[in-house]
This record gives sequence, C-alpha cells and structure tokens, in this order.
Amino acid sequence: MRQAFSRSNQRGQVLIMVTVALVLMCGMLGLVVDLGWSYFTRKSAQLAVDSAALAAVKMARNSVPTDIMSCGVNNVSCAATPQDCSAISGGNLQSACIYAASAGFSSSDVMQTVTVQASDDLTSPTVAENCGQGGALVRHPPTAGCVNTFYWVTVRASRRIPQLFSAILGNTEMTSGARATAAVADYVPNATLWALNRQNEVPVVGNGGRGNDIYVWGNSEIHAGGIVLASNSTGAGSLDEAGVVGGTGLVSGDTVIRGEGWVSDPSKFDPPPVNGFADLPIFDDPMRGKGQPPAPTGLPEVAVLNGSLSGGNCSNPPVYAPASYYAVNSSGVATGAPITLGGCAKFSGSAGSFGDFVFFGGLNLGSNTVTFSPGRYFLAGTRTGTILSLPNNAVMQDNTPLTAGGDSVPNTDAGEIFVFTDANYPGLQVPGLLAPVRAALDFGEIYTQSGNKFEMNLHGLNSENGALPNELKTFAPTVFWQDQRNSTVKYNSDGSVDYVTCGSGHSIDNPCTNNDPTVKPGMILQASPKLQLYGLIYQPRGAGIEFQGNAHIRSPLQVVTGSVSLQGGNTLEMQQLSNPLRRRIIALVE
Amino acid sequence: MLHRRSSRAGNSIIEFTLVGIPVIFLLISVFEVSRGMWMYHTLASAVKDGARFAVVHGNDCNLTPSNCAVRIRDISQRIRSYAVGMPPSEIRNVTFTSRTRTVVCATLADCLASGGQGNTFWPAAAPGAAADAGGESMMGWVEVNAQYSFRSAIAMFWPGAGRAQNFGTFVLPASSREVIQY
Repeated sequence: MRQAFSRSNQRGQVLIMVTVALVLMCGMLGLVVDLGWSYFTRKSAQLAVDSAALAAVKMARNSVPTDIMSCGVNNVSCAATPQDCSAISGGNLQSACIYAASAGFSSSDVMQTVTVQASDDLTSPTVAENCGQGGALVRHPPTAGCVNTFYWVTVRASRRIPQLFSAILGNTEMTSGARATAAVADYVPNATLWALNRQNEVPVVGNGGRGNDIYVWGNSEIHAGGIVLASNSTGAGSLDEAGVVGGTGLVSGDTVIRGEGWVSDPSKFDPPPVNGFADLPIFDDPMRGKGQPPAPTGLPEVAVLNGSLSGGNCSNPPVYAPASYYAVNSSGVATGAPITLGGCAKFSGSAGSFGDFVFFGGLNLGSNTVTFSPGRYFLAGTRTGTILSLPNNAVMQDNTPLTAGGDSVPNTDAGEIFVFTDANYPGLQVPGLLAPVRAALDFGEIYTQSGNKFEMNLHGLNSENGALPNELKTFAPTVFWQDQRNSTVKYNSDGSVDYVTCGSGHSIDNPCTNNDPTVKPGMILQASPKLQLYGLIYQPRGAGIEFQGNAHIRSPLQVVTGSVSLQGGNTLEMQQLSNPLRRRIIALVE
Repeated sequence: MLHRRSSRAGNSIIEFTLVGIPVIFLLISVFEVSRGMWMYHTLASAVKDGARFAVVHGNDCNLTPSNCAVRIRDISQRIRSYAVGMPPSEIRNVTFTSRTRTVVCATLADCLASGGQGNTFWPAAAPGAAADAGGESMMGWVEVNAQYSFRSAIAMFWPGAGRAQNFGTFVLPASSREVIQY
C-alpha cells in the first residue's frame, strides 16, 4: 500500500512537471511563432509603405508642370494630420492607399490601419529649422530630420496580430507596422558640361557635323568635372563622332556617352571616355520640368531718348532702378534700338533687394564699366542681331569682386540671371508704345570684343539668399539663360523636348523641329582670362556655344547646351561650383 | 508479482536509455537549429534595415541647407535595435561598403562607440565638407555585411566534433545591398 501510494504520488509529479514545462514551452513557441510573425508583418508593412509613399508623391509630381508644388494647387493633396485611408477618396493620396492595399495593407480590414499624411514645404506640419548648413531654413517632414523637401507624403501601416501562444502569458494582441516618407527633394547631377544634341542634330556653331556634341580643335583644352554627351553617333556614315578632338587638343574629365556613341581619338581624352549607357535621365535636359524663368511683372516703363542711358564717373556711377527700358526717338516713337550706355553706370534695386530689369532692343555697354546688382535681367529682342554687346574695354560686373589674383569667389548675394530672348517671351509685359516694333524685336547673339579686350565678372542665382524670389529658386545657379524658343529643337512649356505635337514618326532622338525663322541659337564667347562667370550657362538642346580666341578661362562654371566648340587654342577650365545645378527628384527620405 | 514488477521496472530504464537519448538529442537539435535559423533571419533583417536606413541618408543629405548625413554609429544603432537577442559584441566583421568608401568594424560594439569607426560619416561625407568626388548620390549603392557567431549546444552530440573544431560555434553571415534613394 505504501509503495502503491508513493507510486501514484510520483505519477502526479510528472503531470505537474509537464504542465509547468508546457507553460514554458508555450512561451518559447510564442517567442518563435508570434514574435516571428510580427517581424514578418513589419517587413511586409515596410514594403507596402515604401511603395505607397512613392506612389503618392509621384502622382502629385506628375500633375504639376513646374518645380513649385503647393497644397491644393494642381491637384496636389495634403493632410496635416495622419488621415485614415477609409477617409481618403480621390487625389494623389488615394494612390498611396491603393498601393498599400495591393501590398496587403488596407484600412477596410478591421485588424489593419493605413494612414497618410502629406504637406508642402511651407504648410504645417512641415518643420522649418536651421540645421547648421548654409544658414537657410530647412523645411522637413516632422519624422525625417533636416532633409530639405518641397512636398512629402508619410504613410504608416500597421496590423493588429492576435497572439497564438504568448496569449498564455497575458498578451492577447500585438501591433506591428512600419512608416515611410517619400518626398520631392533636390539632387545634384554629377556633371559640369552637358552637350544635349543627339545624332540627328547639326551643331549651330563651330565645325562639327551632324551628330557632333563636342568639337575641340587647335591646341584647345577642356577641363571639366564631368562631361555628358547625348549623341550616340560613332562617326559612321555622314555623321561626325559625338566627340571630335583634333590637333593637340585635350579633354580632361570623366566623359560619358550615350549608347554606342564614340569619339575621334580616345587618346585625347583623359581619362578615356566611357560609352554604352542606356538613355538615362542624365542625357536629357537637366532643366526639364522647371519651365522657363518667369518674366517680371508690374515694372515701371522707362522710355529712353535714342536709347542712350547717360553714364558718369566710374567711382560714383549713376544708378538705374528696376524698370522696363526701351528706346524712343525725339518724337516719342518707340524705335526698338538697343539701350546704350554713355559712361559708367549701375543697375540696382534698393540695397539688399532683388531687382527686375527688362531691356527691349538689346543692351550695349559701350567702353564702360557697368555694374549689375542682384536681379533678373531680361534682354528681350533686338533689331540688330546682337542682343548684348561688350565692345573694346567694356567691363560687365556685379557686386562680388574678383580676388587679387583675378579668380571668382562664391557670391553671398542673390546673384543675377540674364535671360536672352525676344519680345514675345511668354508672360513678358511689353510697353504699349512698343507695339508697332514688337514684331521686329527678334532673338540676337552675344558680341564680345576679341583679343582679351573685355571683362566679365558675374555670379549666377544663389538659392540660399533670402532675397531671391521663390519662383527663381529652381533656376539657381543660372547666370545666362537662353530662351528655349531660340533653338532648332522645339520645347514644351514645361522645359522638356517636344516630340509629340509634330505628328508620328518622332521620338526623343528625332524631336520636332522649331520652324521659327528668327532663331539665332548660337552663343559665341571670346575666350578671355577675364571671362569670369560663376554659375551656369544654359542653352536649350539644338543650340550651341563656341569659345574663340587664345586664352585660359578658369572659372567655376557649368554649361548646359546642345553642342560645344573650342577653337583658337583656348583652355576652358571649369571649376567646381560650391552650389551646383540641382534637380528635383522623388525619393524615400526616411 | 514483486519479481515481475521489478523486472518491468528494469525494462523501462533500458527502454528509456535506448529511446530517450536519441529523442532528447532530436529535441535539442530541433531546438538549436530553430534558434540558429532564428538568429540567421534576425541578423539578415537587421542588416537589411540598416542598409535601408543608409540609402535614405545618402550623399544628397550634404546638400545645403539639408543636414541629414548619418554616422556609422547611427546605422549600427538601427541594426542593434532590430537584432533582438544578439549581443553587439557577438556581431562581428561589420562592413559598410559604398562605391567610394569602406568602413570595417571588428564587432558591432566598436561601430556603436561614439569615437573611432562609429564616428565616421557614411555613406555621405561629413556635413559642410565637399561631397565625395563622384560621391554616393542617387544610383550609387551601399552594402552592409555582418557575421554572427552562433554558439550552439548541438555540437556536443556530434560524433565527429573534436577539439580541433571550434566547439559549437557557427558563423552566420548576412549581407544587404541597396541602391541609394536620396
């Protein structure tokens, strides 16, 4: 009996031990099954919100023709607080919900929550703070610190998971989820020289043939940080190679060429060029999507007798205020003649401001020192064929002097943009008196005196200066802007190349041609060591730039153009800009 | 009766010896392999999360006025918080590779330190400094590698496991490569 009793006692012990062990084992199982499942949920939620946030931003971006995105404008939706997907219908924010749902997260499931939050750069809850770089305010989403964004969408997805094994330990439910923020932000393309012409375009300046992007002759040299050639010409048939370098010419800088495009003599490139690239975004106009710099509005109109603006003592020159300047004769009839300076002069708004100036008929500096304070300068059409003239000893400068050694320094002021166009620029206000001669005010070229007999020291737009109007910020650091209408290639109003409106059979390689007979798309600059442009020279695809003469230009410079030509033994040394051209991109920022 | 009873008792001891040892071996094996796979997947997820964190803080973070560049220790902290149950000192050979720069830490603990490797800015350059020449802006990539030394009790059952072998330690590798987003 005693033995039997003790035996049955032992049996009970096993039961207790197993029971206690079961609780522990369930805990272990709970760890593996429930926690494992929650990790899996978190990973799939991350995947869902990443795609959802990108989709919503891309949808908004597609509906906006320029770089400026504002809540409620052009179908750009915003939500100051996280909004549940069940409350969102239509608009770009619904794209986020659709993408999240297709990835397995939908608010219509009672166990799941998907919320969307969005804002532009100026509307709460976007945080504006100084992050210690550059002094300007950073406008960032509340959940992504110090990323300067212009529009953002944050998507949060979570799932409540009923617990299977860890419920025994008291947890009946667990929430697992993820968050992602996609935004429109700035990006710096890694290049200093873009030659955008493709194999079907003929350079408008220089000796290059059809398909040529860069033509360096004599003992000319280009030194650049990165060179992008969009022509895929190998030189076969009647085409020229994408790059032609002859004589003792040299191209130094990483050169990338689209497709099979090649150069006449790779040994004259340092390092040798690299081709074989697909049609990547880098081969398209980096200004696409921005439109063109908006023309100033509401300016006073100043009729200038015979187009002569009087000058004065160079140490204390007369100051001309922001206005539309145009020439009239003694009877007060507008002539469309160029505005010509009679001595040293200065164009400037009030101190520290950004001035708007329009010159109808072109601008001739004479043999004078003319100072251009920060501002937007429209040179709108000429009857002479020359829109900007720098004759012997002309000095065109701004408020940021060169170093004693003659080098450019970065500007802290808002900088200048010179827009070369005609009198029909979209949005340009033309004085009523000019109406009879408006049709005669065509595109023109830049004339600079050869033989190092001129000086130019200008600085492009500086987006970090508060005086720069918002509408011009995306054009920084442009200093010279050639109207996209002044090209052999037709552009859309959003700044992209048009290959649609001219019928079938056209593509980005073979775009619509611009049939305007008045175009003068070539820009010829005499190489002078005193040619100091700190910023970007922009020309549309189909236009071209040529540097002539024998001099060494060393300047922080970026060039976007159709084709480049260097002749006469000059050296173009393009130094790194501290604040180079930016493009707006869509990216995950958190 | 008594005799037969005690004879049965002896049988069950023999039966238990024959069946129980393999069963316990099997049980511990299943447990240890599962724990190993758990560690392997946790490390893989943690490294992937770290790489994701890096690709949304790429070179464009240096673009004034933005200032969102991160240091190795920030990314390591991210990996650590994901890698539940793995001591940072056991996560070895942590390697952060981009097209232009590579940072290597002997253990994750070194990467988490406020000085040394942990203090390095990656994948972007330090704020205010010029962007890396040809730096890791969009379309660049980053790769994060790590190894976890998994100590398992399983090896004590392995007949072939001699002293020459690192007793019961397995190196679980993890690697994640992602394209820079921003």
